[in-house]
Amino acid sequence: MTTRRLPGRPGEVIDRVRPIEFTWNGRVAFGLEGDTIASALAAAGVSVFSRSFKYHRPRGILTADQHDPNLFLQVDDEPNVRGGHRLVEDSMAVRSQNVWPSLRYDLRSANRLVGRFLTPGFYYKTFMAPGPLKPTYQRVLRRFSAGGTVGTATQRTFSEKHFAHPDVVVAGGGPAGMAAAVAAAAAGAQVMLVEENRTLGGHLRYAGAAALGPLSDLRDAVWAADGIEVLTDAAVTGRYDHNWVGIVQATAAAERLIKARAKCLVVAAGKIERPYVFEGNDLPGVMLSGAAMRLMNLWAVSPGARAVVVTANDRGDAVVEQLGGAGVDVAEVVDLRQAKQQLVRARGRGRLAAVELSDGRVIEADLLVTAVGWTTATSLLNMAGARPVYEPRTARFLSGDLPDDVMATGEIVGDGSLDELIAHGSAVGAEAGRRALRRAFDWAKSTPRAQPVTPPADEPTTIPPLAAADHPELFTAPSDGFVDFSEDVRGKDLALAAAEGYDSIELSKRYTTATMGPIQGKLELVNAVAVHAEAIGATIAETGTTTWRPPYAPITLGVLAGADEDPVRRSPMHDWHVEHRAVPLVAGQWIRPDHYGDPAAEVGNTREHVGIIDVSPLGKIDLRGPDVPKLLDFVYINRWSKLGIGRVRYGAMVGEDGVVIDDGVTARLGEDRYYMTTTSSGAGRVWHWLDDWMQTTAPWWDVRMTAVSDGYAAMNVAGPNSRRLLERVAEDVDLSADAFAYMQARTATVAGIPDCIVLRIGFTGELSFELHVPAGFGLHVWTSLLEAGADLGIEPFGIEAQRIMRLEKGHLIVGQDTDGLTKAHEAALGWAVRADKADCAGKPELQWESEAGPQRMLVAVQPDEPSLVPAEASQIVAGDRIVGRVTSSRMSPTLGRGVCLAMIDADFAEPGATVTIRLPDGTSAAATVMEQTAHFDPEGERLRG
Amino acid sequence: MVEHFASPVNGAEEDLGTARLTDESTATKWRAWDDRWSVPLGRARSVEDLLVFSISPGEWLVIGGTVPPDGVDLTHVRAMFRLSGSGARDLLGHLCAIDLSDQFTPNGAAARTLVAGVATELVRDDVGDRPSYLLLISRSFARAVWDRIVNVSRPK
Repeated sequence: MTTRRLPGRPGEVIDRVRPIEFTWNGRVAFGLEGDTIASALAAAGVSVFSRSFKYHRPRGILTADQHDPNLFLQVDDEPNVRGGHRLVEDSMAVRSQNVWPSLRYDLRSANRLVGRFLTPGFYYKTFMAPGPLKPTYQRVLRRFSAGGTVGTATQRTFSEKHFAHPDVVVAGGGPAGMAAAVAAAAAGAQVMLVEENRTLGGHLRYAGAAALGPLSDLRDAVWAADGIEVLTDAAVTGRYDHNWVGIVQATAAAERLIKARAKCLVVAAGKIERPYVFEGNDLPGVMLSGAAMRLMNLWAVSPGARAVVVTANDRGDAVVEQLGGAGVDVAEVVDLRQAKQQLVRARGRGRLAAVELSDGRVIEADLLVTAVGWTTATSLLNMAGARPVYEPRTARFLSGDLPDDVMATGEIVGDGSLDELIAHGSAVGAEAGRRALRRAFDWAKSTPRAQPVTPPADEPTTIPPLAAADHPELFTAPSDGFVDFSEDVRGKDLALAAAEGYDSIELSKRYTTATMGPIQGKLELVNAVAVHAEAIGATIAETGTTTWRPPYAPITLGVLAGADEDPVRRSPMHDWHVEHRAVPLVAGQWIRPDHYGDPAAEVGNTREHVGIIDVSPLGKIDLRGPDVPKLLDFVYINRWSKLGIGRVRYGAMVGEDGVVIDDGVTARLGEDRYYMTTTSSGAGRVWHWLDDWMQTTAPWWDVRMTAVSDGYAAMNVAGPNSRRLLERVAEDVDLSADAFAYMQARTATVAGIPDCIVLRIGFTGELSFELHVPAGFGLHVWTSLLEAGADLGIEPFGIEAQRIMRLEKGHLIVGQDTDGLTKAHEAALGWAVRADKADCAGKPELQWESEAGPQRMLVAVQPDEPSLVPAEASQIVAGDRIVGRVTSSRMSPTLGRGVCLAMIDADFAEPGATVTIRLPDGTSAAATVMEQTAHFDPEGERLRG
Repeated sequence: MVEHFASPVNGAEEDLGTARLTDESTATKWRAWDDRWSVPLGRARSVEDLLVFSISPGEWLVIGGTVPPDGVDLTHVRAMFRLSGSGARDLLGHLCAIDLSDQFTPNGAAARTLVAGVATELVRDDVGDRPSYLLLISRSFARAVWDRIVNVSRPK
C-alpha cells in the first residue's frame, strides 16, 4: 500500500511514534495513535470503505467525521461503528459491511444493472403479493439488508444512565459553544458542555494553523472556568418538553445516557457542509471540503494527488490553498460564484478518474472537493418548537422563534469572524446563565426541601447581531446524482415520486426513504427539498422541510435500555429457599419457591403430617381507628361491623362494576386495630383502592392506614400436626381448638419473638396456623419451626403444592379463576354479598347481578376419565358453542384423579351436569359438574380440627 | 432478641471508592401522625436521639427511640441504608431522578422518590462535612436496590 501520510502538520492529533496494528477485511493494516479508522486506512491508500445500501456501489470518504454515510463499519463484533470517529486500536478487526463475498467483488452490485427497476416503492410494488410468498420474500430480502452483525458470543455490556440537573446545557463545543459555556459559568451557572468530537474546538480544530492559537485560548478558558462539565464524544440527542435533554456519550469502551433537566439549553451545533448533486458524486475520491481539511490537518493525510475543487464560498477557497500547501496538485478550481464554469459529472469505474466540466474539458483527477453550501444543524431548535425558515439569500434554513429556555449561538445563527462568533457566544451564555438561575430561584421557592437562595440579576444581557452571510443557491448540477447516500436515493427518484403524486415532502420522504437513513437528513435534507421543490414547481420556502425528530445522531438500543433491571422482591426466608434447592417461580416482582423437588410429595406430607409455606408476599395493611369497620364495610362485599376482637373474616372486594378484584382476610387485633391481608399480586392495587375511597368518599373517617406488607414474614403451618408443632414454640397463647377456633386471630410470642400475629386460617383445607412475624425475625422463626417439627414430619412446601391443595379444597384464586368480567355471584361468592348494607363499592351492580341471576358460574368439575387433567383454559363446549373454560386443573395426589375449577355458562353449570371439554389436541372429554367447589373435605372437618 | 434480627443484606458494608454504603436496617423506624416536633414537609430534623422527617402531608417518619402506642412500627417494613462520601451524590444520580444538588436537596432535606425503580424515602443526613443520604426502602426490595447501588459504582 502507498502511504499518503504528510509530514508533520500543526494541530495534528496523531502520535507518530505510536504505531497501531489492526486488520482491514482480514489483512494487516497500520495506523498511528490518534488516527480514526478512516484516517488510518486513507493514509494507507484505501479509497473504498463500503458498498452502498441498495446498488452496492463502492463508496469512500465523504465527510471524514461521525456523520459520514459511507463509513459505517464492523469492528470486531460491533456493527455500524462510525469509522470517521472511532480511533484505531491494536488488534482491532475492521471489516466493511453489506458486502458479499468481498468489498472488492460485491456480487450484489448487480443491482446496479437493474437499477432502473429499483425505483421508489419497488418493494411495495413487487413483494406484496401473492401473500403466501411473503415469508420467502422476507428471508431473501433480509440477506440484502444493510448493517453489520452482532456475534452470538458477543459479550453483554451494560450502559449507564445518569440523571442530571444542570443549569445550562450547551450543545456543541465549537468556538461559540465554548464561549457560551464560559460566560454561563461566569454568571454562576452549572454548565454541561456537550461536544460530539473527541476534543473541543469545532471547525477550529482543522481550519488551519491560524486557528490553533484562538482554539488553545478558548480551551484554556473552559478548563479554567468553575462549574463546567465537559462531555466529549457526546451528543445531545433530543430536546423534549420542559427542557428534558437526552445526552448520549459513547466511546469504544462504554456508553451512557444522561437524562438532563436543563434550566436553559444553548444550541451551538454549527453548520454542516452540504454535498452537491451531480453524476458520479458518490465515487470514492469525491469529498466535501471539510473532509479534505480534516484529513490534512487532523491526521496529516493527503486526500489525493491531483485535485479539482468546486467552490462557492470561503471554505472552498481555503481548501484550495491548503491542498496546494500539502503538495496536492490542484488541477482546476471551479468557482460557482462566477457563471463561467459548471461541474457536469465525475467519471470513473470504482473510483474517481476524471472530472467533466461544462466547457467540455475532462480533467484527470483522483480527488474532487466540493464546497457548495451549508445546512444549519437546527434539529434541536426545531424539536423545541422553532419553525425552520428558508432564507434564499443564504441558501439555508434558519430557525424561527425560540422558547425562553432555549437559545442558539454560533454558525447555527449566522456567520461572522471568529471574534464575532465568540462575542455572540459569550452574550448568549451570560443570558442563558441568568435565565437558568432565575428559573432555579423560582423552582427552589416552591420546593419545600430546597434551600432558599438570593434572586439573580434581572437585567437581560444584550446579544449582538450575527447575520447569516449571502450564499448562492447550489443544490444540483446539470447531471443527476445521489441525494441521499445512506439510502441510495437519486434526484430522479425524488422527481419520480413527485410525478406519482407524492407532492408533499413528508410523503416523498416516506416513499423514497430519502433522509431516513442513519444520517437522518443532516447531509441530504436540503438537497432533497430542493429537488422535490423543483419537481412540484414550488419554491423551497413553500415546500418546507421534513420534521426533525430525536435522536439527532444514531444511538444504540443498548444505551436506551441501559442497565436497568426490574427490581425483584425477596422474602426474609429467600436465602433459605435457595439453600434448600427451591425451584424459583417469578410471580410478578416476587421470587418464590415453586417447589422443593416434588410438589405431589409436598402435598402428601402436608395432608399427612405438617408442612410449612412461605407466604410473605401477601399484601398486608395495618388499619387503625374507630371508623375502620365503616371502611371495611364499604370495600368488602360482606358485613364487618360486628367483627369481634380476635376474630378473622374472609372478604372479597369488587370494583364499581361488580367485578371481583381481590380477596383476603382481615383480623381484628384490638379495639381499633385491624390487620388486612390481600392477594400477593393485588397488594398495591388494594392499597390504592382503599386510599382512593378514604380520600374521596369519606375523608372524615378516622382511619389510619399503613402498608406493612414487607414488615411481616408470613408462613402458613398446615397439616394435622400443625397444632402440636405450634404448641412447642408459641407462648402466651392457648392453641386448643376450643380456645383458638377456626377463623380467629391471636398475638403470641413464637420462638421467642413477641408480637407475632397468629391467624387460624388456611388455603390448603388443613388445620393450619398462619404466622405473621416481624420480618427481621422471619428466618429465625422459620428455622425454629423446622427444627421443632423434625419429629412431626415437617417439610416445606411451595406454591405448586399450595395450588394443588387449594384446588382440591375448591378455593378460587382471583385472576386465575376469575377474569376482568367475573362478578361476585359468578365467582361463587354470592354467599358473602350482603345486600342489606347501606352501601359498598359495586353494590348496585351486585344487586342487578343478583336479580338477573349470574350468567356464568365458577364450579368444580371432574373429568370422567380420572387420569385426565385438561390443560388450563381448555374450552368447554356444547355442540359448536363455547360455553365455558377450565380455569384451574391439577392431578390431585390426595384423590388420585384430575380436578378442575371451571367457569361455565349458568345453563350448563347445574350440579351433576355432564359437560364436554375440548382439549388442546382437538379431542373431547366428558366431565361432571360437582355439587360444591370443594373436591376434598367439603364439610371442612380437617381445617376445623 | 436482636441477635435473631436478620437484615435483608445482613448488615453489609461496601467500600464503593468515593462512597461507602452501610446497612443500618436495625434502627427503629416508626410512623407518627402528628407534628409534635414542628418538622415541615420536605425537611428532616434531629430532635434529641430521634431523626424526624416529613415527606407527605400529615405524616412523619421517625428514626430512633421507642415506638409509642400511637405510632406504627416500620422497623421491619423498611430497610435503611446510608450512602455517604464525596461520591455519594454522583452514585445516587445514576439511580434517582431528583435534583440532588445542595440547592435542591441540602442537608436536612427529605423526599419520597424512586431509587433504582423502587419507592424510597430519602433523607440528606450529612455526617460532619461528608455528604450522606439515608435511604429507607421497602424490605423486600432492599437487596435489589443494594445490588444496583454496588453495581453502578463499579467501573464499566
